[in-house]
Amino acid sequence: MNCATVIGKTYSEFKHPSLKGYDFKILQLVNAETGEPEGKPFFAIDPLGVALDEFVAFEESFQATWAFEDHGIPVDCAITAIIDSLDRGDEKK
Amino acid sequence: MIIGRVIGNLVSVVKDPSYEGFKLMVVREINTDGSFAHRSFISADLIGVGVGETVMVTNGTSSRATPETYEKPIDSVIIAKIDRLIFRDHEVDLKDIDPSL
Repeated sequence: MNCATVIGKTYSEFKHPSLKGYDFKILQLVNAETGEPEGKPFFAIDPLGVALDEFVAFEESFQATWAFEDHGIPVDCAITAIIDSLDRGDEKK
Repeated sequence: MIIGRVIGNLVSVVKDPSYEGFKLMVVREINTDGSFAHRSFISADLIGVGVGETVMVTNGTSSRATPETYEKPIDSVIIAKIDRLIFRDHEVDLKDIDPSL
């Protein structure tokens, strides 16, 4: 699991039947310690309905399919939580 | 997941029996800035897309999560057709991407 910022979204009408009702968001990985963006943007499925610029946690690889009640969903990156605050020692982000 | 452009399809007579019924497509990866990545691969089509379309591709173990691909030698599947790619301040025009290398 890791944290990221939502930087964009995609429109997709025609998709696998198991993905009905969900859409894909574009995420930018954020270093949890420094708050700096890292690496290239990537795509994740959004079962929670997050908004643009929101700070989220996501799950990669096969575990991402477990974010759904029906596990037969072919996704390898899923948003699993909206982060309200992140404490690290004395500082707050 | 990554996005890519379907640039061709694959025909095979002698193949693993579990590939029966799957369309295998050649996909070239697209970066999120709308440029082509210099990487192409073969992906099994779960939804029925055509050459020239922009698609979302799942790689790895997750591609065997569906009943259609369960316990089959497949590690890349096409799961959706992408119509628009919208960022905070701009939209990437998917039609504008130059298909040549």
